[in-house]
Parts: sequence; structure tokens; C-alpha cells
Amino acid sequence: MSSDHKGDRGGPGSESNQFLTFTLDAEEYGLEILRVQEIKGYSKVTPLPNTPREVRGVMNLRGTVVPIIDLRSKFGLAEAEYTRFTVIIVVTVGAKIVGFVVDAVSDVLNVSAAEVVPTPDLGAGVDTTFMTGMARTGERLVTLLNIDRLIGRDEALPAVMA
Amino acid sequence: MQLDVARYRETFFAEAAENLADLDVALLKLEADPLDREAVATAFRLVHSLKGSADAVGFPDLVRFAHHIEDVLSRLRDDTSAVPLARVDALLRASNHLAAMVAAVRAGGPVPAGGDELAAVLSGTGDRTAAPVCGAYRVTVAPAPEAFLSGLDPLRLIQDLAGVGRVTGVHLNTDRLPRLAALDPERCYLSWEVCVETSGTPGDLADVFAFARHAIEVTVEPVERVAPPTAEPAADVPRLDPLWFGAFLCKRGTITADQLATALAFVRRARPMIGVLAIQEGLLTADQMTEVLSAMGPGERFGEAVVRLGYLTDADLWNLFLLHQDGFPTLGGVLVELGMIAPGVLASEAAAFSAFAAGDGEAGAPGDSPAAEPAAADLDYGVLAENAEMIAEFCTEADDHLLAADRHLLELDADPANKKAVDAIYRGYHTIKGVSSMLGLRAVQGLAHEAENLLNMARDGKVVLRGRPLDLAFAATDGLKRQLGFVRDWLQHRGLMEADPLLGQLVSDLRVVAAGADGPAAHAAGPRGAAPDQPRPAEPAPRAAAAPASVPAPVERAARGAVVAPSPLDPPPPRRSGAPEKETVRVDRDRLDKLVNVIGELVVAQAMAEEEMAEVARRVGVELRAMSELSKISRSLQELGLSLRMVPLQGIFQKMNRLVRDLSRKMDKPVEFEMNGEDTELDKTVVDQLGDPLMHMVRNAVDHGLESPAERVAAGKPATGRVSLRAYHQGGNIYIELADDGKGLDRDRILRKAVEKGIVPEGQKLSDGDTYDLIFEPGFSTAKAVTDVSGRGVGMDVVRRNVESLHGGIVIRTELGRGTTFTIRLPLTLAIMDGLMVGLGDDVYLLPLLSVIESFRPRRAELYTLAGRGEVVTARGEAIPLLRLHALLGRPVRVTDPCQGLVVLVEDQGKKYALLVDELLGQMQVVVKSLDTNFRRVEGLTGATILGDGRVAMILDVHGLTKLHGQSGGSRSEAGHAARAAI
Repeated sequence: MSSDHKGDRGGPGSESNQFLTFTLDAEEYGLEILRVQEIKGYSKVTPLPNTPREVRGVMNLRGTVVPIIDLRSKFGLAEAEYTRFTVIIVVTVGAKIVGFVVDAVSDVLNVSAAEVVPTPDLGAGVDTTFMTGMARTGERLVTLLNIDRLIGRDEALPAVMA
Repeated sequence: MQLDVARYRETFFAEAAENLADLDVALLKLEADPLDREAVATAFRLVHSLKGSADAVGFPDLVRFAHHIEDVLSRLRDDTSAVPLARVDALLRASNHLAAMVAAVRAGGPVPAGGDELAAVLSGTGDRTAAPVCGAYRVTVAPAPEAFLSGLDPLRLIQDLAGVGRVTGVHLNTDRLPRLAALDPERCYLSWEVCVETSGTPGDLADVFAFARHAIEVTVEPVERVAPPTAEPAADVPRLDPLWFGAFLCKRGTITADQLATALAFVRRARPMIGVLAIQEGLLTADQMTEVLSAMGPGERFGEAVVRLGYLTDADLWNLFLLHQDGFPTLGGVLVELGMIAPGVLASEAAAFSAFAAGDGEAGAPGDSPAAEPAAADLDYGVLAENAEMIAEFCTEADDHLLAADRHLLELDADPANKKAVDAIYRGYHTIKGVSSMLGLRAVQGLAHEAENLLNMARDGKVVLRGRPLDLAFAATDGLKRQLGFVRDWLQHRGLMEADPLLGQLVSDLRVVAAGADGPAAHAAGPRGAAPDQPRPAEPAPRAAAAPASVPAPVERAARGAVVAPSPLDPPPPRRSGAPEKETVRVDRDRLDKLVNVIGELVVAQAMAEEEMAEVARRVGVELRAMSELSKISRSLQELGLSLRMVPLQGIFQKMNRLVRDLSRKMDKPVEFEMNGEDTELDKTVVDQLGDPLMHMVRNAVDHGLESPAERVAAGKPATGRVSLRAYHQGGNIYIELADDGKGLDRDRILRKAVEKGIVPEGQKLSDGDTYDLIFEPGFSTAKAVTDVSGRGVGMDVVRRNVESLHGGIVIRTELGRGTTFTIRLPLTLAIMDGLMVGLGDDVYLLPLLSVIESFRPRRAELYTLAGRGEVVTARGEAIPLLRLHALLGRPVRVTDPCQGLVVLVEDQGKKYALLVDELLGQMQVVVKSLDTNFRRVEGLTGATILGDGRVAMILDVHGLTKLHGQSGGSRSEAGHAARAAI
């Protein structure tokens, strides 16, 4: 059985990962699916005072207090009304659990490493450090996010969130 | 290539595990039905294939042993009669051993011993059925020293014995062997005991040596024949602690230390594997076991892996461990099996041991026997690894004992005649010794043994624990703590266990003191005279009085020897002390936290259910009596759950007591230490984090705070300094106060130093409080010399940081020349809080009830605006700054006019503030959820909680709010003006 595995790992570039894709405005983004804990509909959150605008507040997730971050706001997109299609993607970042508000979840995408192209330099005004790259599938272009960089692991968390 | 072999080996291990599991299944089938040929054939096939693959991957030891088993099975296969149970039993044991060998080979360790004996037993079983045995004899062969000179070879003759019957065991007796220097290689010093089973007569056996009678002394005595294992040789003998029982046997000369070692190795290795047990119990399939084996990470144990993969629960595993323990063959059984002891002898010895152990545990202690000196021997890591769980358990338990020992030693320091303390310490060491020896922790055992000896002397009044003996007892406790530290390190990292370089010295010091007391009796106590040497009731009083200093050593020994026999004068057995002790159960902290969390959720869910039910009940028109009962229960459950986390401060205070004692010795400053309120309970999380800061503070108090005795006398104070530590509740907080009567803080010197270090600019005016707070600055130290105790300036800033991280505060009161008092304020618990719910816009916030003084709606006349300092409310003639909560939090609000809303008076560090809120919603006890678990700390908030309806509400941090208020002074006054304008 071990030889089967060997075959899969034949070339270094052929590794394939699954990404959960979601939309923000007209853009499509992807998160590593293994990091996604659950997807739930938007429900009212309790606001957190004195925090940045993208931190919408906290939510009770079965006894755990989970911060909710609006990704539109985080990425500087126009804010939208929350509708019944608005969803929260709950992800794990290190030991922490964080919820992202996105417009809608669209797909699960198999992306092989070969299909990922590096993020183009978008100029000084755009922070691309939390993007792993862009995946081209058919005519769609999906921006793959690096959650660790986006949120910052453990001790880095406050710094990025603040 | 290397890699390939490694991969094959992995495959082999996986296969072997499967084979072994199936083998056990087949053998068990055979045990159930001795005529099951199919089972024999299956077993044969399995062993055969295991042998083959072991050969292919190059494990010769495995091949050899498997071959033995295969041999037996092949003979059984060709036989058509029922397979004797004894043989199935032997096969099962062989299979266990094979499993142990595979495990050892896999771990890269040495192949466990005992295989040869087993192989002998295996093939022996075969022989025995072939030739019925009439009698068993023990032949003692003792060649004369000159035997070699006449050209005699005793070995040949002994081998010849095998021609007469079956040799079941040979024991070499080396008692006559001299030291190497005195050894004459041409002389024979050895003798043998050979156990033989034969159908012949004793004469036949003796005849083997007939022609050598002049040179060899031969005795033949019948022994009770080894009962076939179907009758379980040791079945009637209770399961005794192998080590203690073995030591007992050694001491009585029934077996030798070598025999014991062999037998013990056998006992340890013959026990079944957890995985096999799990399969037998039907908890695991063979496939699952293989999967677990292949999924085991480096250094991971089977038990851990199997739980991680979710095949077994912790509880299952624990039950298996218990079974596993029962799976050990008894020492007695093994001894009989190896022919080292006759069953009859075993029964009588076991009875003697039980009687003896019941009389006084100490007498059976291995410490007094030659077998218990293995402190220097190498550790058996295989055994240690198998015992890892128990060792971890032992470490925690030993910690408690050592902590208690410290406490009692301190009591002895004050009162050397405190018999109860001596007994208690003795019990602690005794337990540590017993358990560590069982677990194979030799260094711990050796040290605990010496310490126990010392305490035993003290118990017998031969040593008075003061001065050097007391110091040594302290040192022994510390030594044991160090050992435990090494053991813990090893548990975490494995590899080799670190050895304590100080151990040898410590052990020999302890021995010297013990020996000194054993010889010239009452030497320690005699000259002092102060402590009355309690007359031992065992001795007639006149004699003791007549010659107190010259009691000859033999008498002492005899008295000690007498302890061996149970006598009414002996102290009660250590475990069963009279005073009822609080029984406790150790629980994993994670589990406790989870429990508390689940209880919290239950309470919330219950509240939600209650609301829904009430709605339904209203519609239907029935009363909900059960529901209110349920809510009562769930509330008390919540309270109980939270109280689980509370622990007394005693342990930590005890450590400080010890620290003061040590420091006082080290620095030659006599110190009187006083403790108060150590029963005060605090959340475990808080207590755990309190240790460091308290330690720094106590060090500072003794090192910097107290003057030297000379200085003290010169200042008109008693030479002995005083340090006191007390804890008390006040207003829902815990206060811990550390006071010394030393020189106090020197305001000017602190200021000078601060300027020197550039912490404070030259010429800046500071209040007293601010000046004293400077000692909490990192790198600040006013000590003239850096001692190894303190003065590096790393202490006090750690103190402040730790205390603040616990949501506490620290206050200094000092008077030059009179002493300093540090007061730490801490919240009772970080997990639960009484809160006042306040409404603000659509949000609900909680204010810690502790900080709330009162709430009221102010009248217009009570509101003022102070120029540039914001708004003020007067209450009872006091002007109190008004804080608009919504502004501080940046949240929308319904009421902006204080006369329409409510103000809540709160207190923070002695100052009052008025918080403007929309409304009060009630009071509730809440579980505090930290925001930094998933987010980070937010200024002005302590945390969050989940309300009865499932919503999250923020808990306000009054201190943080006042800080926010201070920062936003400008906006404050603006708001003030706005409010003014509104009025």
C-alpha cells in the first residue's frame, strides 16, 4: 500500500489541494478546505467595541466565543447589506477559531500546484502578502488566500487584527 | 538499499502484529477445545510465516524463538490426541514473549530475556507428556575446593544428570566465591542445585556422581513435584507485589538475588500486550490493530495511538491496563516454574510474607536486603517505557508527598520533638520508595530509601531531626524533587534519563548520619540534653538511664531486628493513619475545563428550553413545576462545577515558607516567618501563576528588605527579622499581603537610581506612590551588590506583569526603617463572575458586581462640568467623574442626558467613577469567556459571556474603562460641553 502513495507523490508539482471558493462582490476567493470548520448562515453578532471596522463582533458558536470578520471590509470592498445568502465560514487558525462573513459560498475546487500562478504585483496600495496565488480554472480566476497570513497565527493575531 | 530494508521491516512489523494477534486467537480456540486440529494448524501456519518473514528481514533472535514454537506446534499437529491445557498455556506465554520480542526489535531495543527459559518450558512440556514423571528431586552438587586438582569436571557430571531425568532448573550458588584478589583459579568455589524430574529413584541420581564421591558432596532430596500448570501452581497464593515479596524471599535466603532478578525479568516480560488484550476482549479487530501499529508516530505508544485514532476510549484503555496487570504471572508462579522454589515452600513463604506485611510494612521493605541496592544499576528503559503512565501519575503523587514533607520538616525545625511530623514524613518517603521501586525508578528509590532510613531512626529516637540531620532531610527532599524533575524530562523527551551528580554525595551523607546514629547511640541527642530522649518502651527504663551513652551497638541492632516481628509496640502500618484524611481524586485539567464548559452550555440550553417551554405552557395553560426544579439543579450544578477549580493557597504558601528558611540560612539572617489564611481558596489558574511573583517578592523581602542582624540590633530592632505572608478575602477579591519589618524603601535612593538609569528625567517631581512603583520597572534594582539571591533587577517587573495578567493589582506601603508591605489584589476566579447587566443602545454589557457601589438617576442639580476635566456627578457630597460608557466604547446609545438615564457608581483602585448607561437589566452570575482564546484582549473589556438566550455579552473592565477615559480626556470634555449645552 505504501507503494501506491509513492506513485501519487511522483512529481513535486502535481500535488493537488482542495479549496472552498466564495464570492465577495464580483470577486472569487479560495480557502484551503481543510481549514474550514463549518459554514453557517449569518446570525446577529454582538459588536466588539473599540475594534477595527472589519471585526463585526463575536458570536456564540456552541459555547465558544468566536470573532466574526467581514472580509469585504477587510479587503476594502464596498460593504453590502447582509442577506439570507450571506454566510459565515468558520475556520481554524492555529488554535484559534475565526468566522469570516462572505457574500456566498460557491464551490469546492481541486487545484493542482501547477495551476497556481503567483499573485501579480498590484502596486504599493494593495497588500498581497495574504494571497497564496491565483488559480485559473476554466475562465474563472480564483484568488487563493493564506489564512495564517490573513489573520496571523497565535501571537501575530492581535497585530493583524488591530 | 538501507531504506528498502527499513520499509520491509515496517511491513514485517505490521504483518507480525497481525500474525501474533491471530495466533492468540487460534491458541485461545485451542484452549476452549483441545481437540481443535484446525486451530493447531492455523497457529502453526502463523508462526511459520512469522518465522519466515523474520528471517527475510534479518531478525535472527525472532527466528530462533519462533522456531521453538513452530516445533512444538508441528508435533502437536501430527498428534491426534487432545492438547493438554498446560501446553496451550505455555504456548500462549510463548506467543506473548514473541510479541514482546517483536516490540523490542521494533523499538530497536535489546531482545527481552527469558526466551530460553520459555523455550525450555515449551519443549519440556513436550517431553513431560512423552515420559511420565514419578518424582522431582533437588540435587545439591558441591564439589570440594580441590576437586579440580583430581581432574574432575563437575559440569560433565551435572550434564549427565539429564540422562537420568529431565532437568527443570539449575541454580548456581556463588556463596563461597572469594574476592578476586583472593581467588585461586585452581580451586572450585561453586556449587549447584539441580532440579530434576525423573522416573528413577534418588539412588539413580546419586549414582551419577558415584565415582567422584570423594571430591563432590552430593545430596538428593525429594521436592514436591511441580504441579502441571493446569492446576495453576500459585493459584492459592495471593498476588503479592513481586518486588517486595521477592526481597522478602531473598532476605530469608529462600532465593538468591540473582534468581530474583531472573524471575522478575520473566514476570515483566511475560505479560500480554495491550493490543492483544484488546483483541481478546473484542474491543479491537486484528485489522484495526495493524492499522494502529502502522499509524504509530515516532515515540508514540500503542495505547496513545489507539486512543488517538479513536478505536478505544480512555476508559477502555484503562480497563485494559488493569487486565494487563492481572495478566502478569505472579512472582511465585514464575519462581516455581523456573524451579527456583518448590510450590509448598512458596505457599508457606507467601503466608509468612502476608503475615509479616500485615504486621509492619517496613519489615518487608526491600531496602534491608541485598536485592535493594540496585541504585547504581542501569535503568531498564523498556520497563520504564511500559510504565510511563504510571510514572507520570507517580510524579504528581510524589510531588504532594514532598510538599507535605517540606511542610512537616519546617514544623520539625520549630519543634524537633514533633513525633507526628516525623511519622508523616516517614510515610511520604516510604510511599515514594515503594512505588518508585515498583516502577523501576532506581535512583528515586535509592534516595527515598536512605531518607526513609534517616526518618526511621528519628522515629526510633536514635536521631533528633535538627541541625545536620534536619538539613539532610531537607536536602533529601530537594534531591527527590530533582530526581522527579529528571524523570519528568525523560517522560517528555525519552532518551537517557539524566543522573543527578549530587545524588552519590547525598546518599552517602545520609548513610553516614544514619550509621553514626546506629553506633554510639543517642550521640546526637545526648549532649544537647534539651530534647528529652524518649525512653523506648521496648527497653527497661533503668538500663537506659544507667548507661545512656554506652548502649552497645549489638543491643541497638537487636532492637532494630525486633522490629521484624510484628509487635504491639510498632507504630501502626503507614498507610492507615488514624486521622481521617480528605480523599481526593486527581482529574486531568483539560477534562475539568471541558466539564465546566459543558456545564455552562447546559445551563444556557436549560434557560433557553425553559423560555420555550414557558411559551408553550402559557398557550396550553399548564404549570411547569419540573422545569423550575430542573433550573434549580442546573444552577447548583454550575456552582459546583466552578468550585471544582478552586484550590487553597496552602501549597504555594508552603513553598514560600521553605524559601524563607533556605534564604535565611544562606544569608545568615535569622527570620521568623508567619503565615495566615493559607486555607483561602483561589482559582487554580490564578494560584498556578502566583508562584513566580510571590517567590520574587519573598526573595526581595529577605534579601533587600531585612537588614543584617547587626544592623537590626544597631537600629534597636530584634536581631530576628520578621516576614509575614497572609491571604484574606475582601469584597470578592483575594488579597495577599507580604510584609517585612526591614529597612523599608528608601525614596531618595530609588529616585536617584531611576534618574541614573534614565527611567525618570532629572528634576521630575514624583508622588510617593509613583516613586515606589518605580521598583516595578524592568531592570531596576537598588541593591548595592548583586547576590545570587536577588538584585539583578529582573524580579519586580515580573511580579507586576504576572499580577496584571491575572487582572489583579499590587500596592506598596512602606516606611523607612520600619518595613515594607506589598499587597496583591486578585480576582477570586477568572472563570466566573457576578455581573450587573446594563443596557446600552441595543447592546447588553455586564459590569463586575464587585466594582459596583450603587446606581441612581442623577438630578440636574447634581451635574457639573469642570473646566477641562469633563463632567462630574455629586453623590453624598462627593464629586465623581462621569464617564459616558457609549462614548468610551464607541457605540450608539438611546439616552444622552444623564437625567434620563442611570449612572452606576463603580470603584477602581480606591477611586470612584460614575458610568452613564441606558438602563439596568438585572444581576446574574456568568461564566467568563476570555476574548483572547479566539481573538485578543480588547481595551475596556474583561471578556465575554454567553447569556441565557445564547447571545454573547461583553464584560466590562472598570479599570480599563478608566484608563480609556484618561486617554480620551479631550473628547471627554467635548462631550461634557455638549452635555452642558443640552442642559
